Amino acid sequence: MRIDLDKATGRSLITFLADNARKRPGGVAMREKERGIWRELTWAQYCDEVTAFAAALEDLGAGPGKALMILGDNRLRLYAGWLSVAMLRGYAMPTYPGATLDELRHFAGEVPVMAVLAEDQEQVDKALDLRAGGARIDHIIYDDARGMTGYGAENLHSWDAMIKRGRARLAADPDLCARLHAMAGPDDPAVFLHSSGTTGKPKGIVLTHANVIGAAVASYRARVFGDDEDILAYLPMAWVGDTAVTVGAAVTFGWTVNIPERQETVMRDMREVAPTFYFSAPRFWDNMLTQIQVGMANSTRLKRFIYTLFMDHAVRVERHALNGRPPRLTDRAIRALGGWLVFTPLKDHFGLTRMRNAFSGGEALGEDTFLFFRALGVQLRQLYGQTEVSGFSAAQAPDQVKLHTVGHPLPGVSLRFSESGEILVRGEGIFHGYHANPQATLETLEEGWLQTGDAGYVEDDGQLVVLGRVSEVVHTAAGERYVPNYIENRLKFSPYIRDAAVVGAGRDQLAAMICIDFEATGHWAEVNAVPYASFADLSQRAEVATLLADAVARVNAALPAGLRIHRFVSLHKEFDPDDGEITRTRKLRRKVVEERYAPVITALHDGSAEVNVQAQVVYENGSTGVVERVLQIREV
Amino acid sequence: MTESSPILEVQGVERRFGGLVAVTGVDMVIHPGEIFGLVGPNGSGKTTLTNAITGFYPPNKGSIRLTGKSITGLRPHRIAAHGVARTFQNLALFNGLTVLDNVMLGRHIHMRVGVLRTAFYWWLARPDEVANRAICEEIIEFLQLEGIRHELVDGLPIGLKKRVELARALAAEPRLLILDEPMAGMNQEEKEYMARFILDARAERGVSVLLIEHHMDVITGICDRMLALNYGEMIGTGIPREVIKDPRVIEAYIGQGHAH
Repeated sequence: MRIDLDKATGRSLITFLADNARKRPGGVAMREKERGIWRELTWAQYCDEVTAFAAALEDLGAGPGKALMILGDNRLRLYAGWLSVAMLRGYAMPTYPGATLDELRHFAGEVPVMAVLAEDQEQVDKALDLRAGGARIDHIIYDDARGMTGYGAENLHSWDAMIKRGRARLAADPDLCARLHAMAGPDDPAVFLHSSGTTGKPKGIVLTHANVIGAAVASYRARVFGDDEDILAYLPMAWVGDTAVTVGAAVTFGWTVNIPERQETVMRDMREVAPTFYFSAPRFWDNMLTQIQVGMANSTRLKRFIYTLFMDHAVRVERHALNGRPPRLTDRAIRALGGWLVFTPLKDHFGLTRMRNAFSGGEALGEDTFLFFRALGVQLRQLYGQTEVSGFSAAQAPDQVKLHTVGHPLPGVSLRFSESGEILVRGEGIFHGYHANPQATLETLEEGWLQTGDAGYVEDDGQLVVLGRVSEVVHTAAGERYVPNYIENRLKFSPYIRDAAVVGAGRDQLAAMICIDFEATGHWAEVNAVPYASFADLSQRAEVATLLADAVARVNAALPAGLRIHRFVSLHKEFDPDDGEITRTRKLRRKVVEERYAPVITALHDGSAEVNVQAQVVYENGSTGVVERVLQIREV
Repeated sequence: MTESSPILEVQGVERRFGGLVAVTGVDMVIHPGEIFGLVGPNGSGKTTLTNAITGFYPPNKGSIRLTGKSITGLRPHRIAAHGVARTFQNLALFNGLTVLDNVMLGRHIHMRVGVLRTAFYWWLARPDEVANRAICEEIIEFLQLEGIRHELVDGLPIGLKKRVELARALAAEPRLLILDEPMAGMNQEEKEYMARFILDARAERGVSVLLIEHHMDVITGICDRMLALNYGEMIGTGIPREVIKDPRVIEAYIGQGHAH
């Protein structure tokens, strides 16, 4: 629905909800799959449900300063409850379904929890555990009644009972509805989220209606989304992406939200819904790519031939386009034919036919995935944001896409960089400070500028490049600033590179130590008749070195001149958690690696052509041994 | 539990195959809402007894009554219509059909079919099918099969296939559910799931269950009463914890040398 963008931030989400119900009562607000069948709720019905629940919540004592804690996966009623408590100026506090009791206890200690809204019996049990553990939880309300018959806990209500109670109140008091709808203002809380808490306890982040609507309007102006989107609500409700899209934008612009049946059925539900907007971490797109490739590998020879013919061509055209070479007329013709024969049926199978705005965010996106979806005709774009800005602060426009950027800052968002290269952001979506944590607020907010904690820079065309966390930034001798992890991740996009360590702190140039992916490189060697005996042997083959040099050169092409990798070495063994070189989650332990491979690093920087290494290895039985090797150093 | 109106009464049932006496002199009573365990070594007659109840092998002697009505010697589909559903030891699913279609097949005793209905599908058969689908979906939700609803049964792991079979049996909305080794070949986790589903089926769907099982921990864990067979004869019946202490049961199961 078209709205007045300039006046939007002076309103609350509730006024948009009521507007949608009044102006397009028959429009579909929510679709939820129940027992295999999609059931629709119109804006009028949805608004009624939200209002009735709010009336009952108020009766139970909800109001400003009190929270409704939401436990569960995406469910229609959990979203309705979210809006109901926002209507009453209270805090809607969604949580991750996997949140531990400790985390929930911490949340419950931040603000009084007047009620928990639980998806099902499992989540009710969690709430009861919290209560038994001493947390103050006045009421517990559950959505799915299955298995709840034997529960006799105090102040336990079913959703249906609450709606009945609310409807009775509304019927008895004809003015109540209008009063409820007018209660919340733009500066009242729309949601109570939490920072990820990788460092210390998660911090409470309250976003106001003005924040959330402001962020939605800015994203709309940047064409992150268009009118009348049909979206799939599958992101965790406690993640800001869900607040921004499924609640903020969907209510403001009156979209249709489709709720998948279960987490396991998301792919299938997506196929049925064919959403027009989709936003996910790169992992999701990678998975879909793998699924398509596996499906094709199991297909008939003819189909595989046709698929490969058109897909390889389309990927080639996209790669040229990415390098600034526009497609020729013949290319367009072949693509059109491929679209008819291959791409459209494929897209249909994965629910991508109506996709207008597809986004990846949160981490770097691999080139193969990026090119594949572009070739398929899905204009995959990247964006950047965080909880503290109520969603997104930068996004790529449809026509100006690069692989390593996250796009221009959104309209109304200003960017600045600190001395240390940290990205500072200002705009309407910026939060007003951490809940009851002035110290952390002071460290993060300065005169309206949010210190993102991310390092980055802006390219000549104005697109933002995010390098990684500021805490990871190091400098070369020339003072060139870089984040090793950023370059390493890009190296790892090559299927032949399992791990990499970029070294060059305090040196003139950057160099890299690379661990080959034994499986992929070994397979490549077999196909190309390159003999090898072991990992160490394969890693030192000249043919493999050429392969790696290509991969490094490709990464170099997207890096500023001072940050290119000039020399690399292929290591004789993988980084191994048992050797302490990487963590169990495969994160590099830089200190250990730099210490252990000090001679290699020296050789990489002093111009030697090869280096003799001794590496200590821990065998499976616990004993230790030493492996000796001569490693060739390659120039790029 | 009312002693007066049992779901199933088996009295003095005997079944022979030529000269071989597979089952003889078996008495068994299952009350409404009961989970009744049937155990015995291989070849002791458990499946034959089941087949006698469901009508595959009508008994040569004795009587079988379902909620007071005699079903002795009735044809299997007639017995099914009386509210008896079963699963099979060696899975009897349609591998080429989806999970949903397999479950829908469980509704066959409730569906009215005919040439006329098929000819005028949209008007005569479809409403019936929609109503039946709703019940199947309820069971799919109950057994948490949503994620594989549209998958072919062929590609599923054994644990899920067993669950699909249970779903198909439940789709018939039986009063008596006969489960023939529902946990054979399952790992501990799958076993626990299945046990939970059986208990839930009783609590939420009000079925009585005859459970044939080798896993003694399952029998003692979820069965109210049990019966042990050996060489076609009853060697013990009653509360599981007591029956499994019976020396005759121990001997049949573990062998004499290990009894103490």
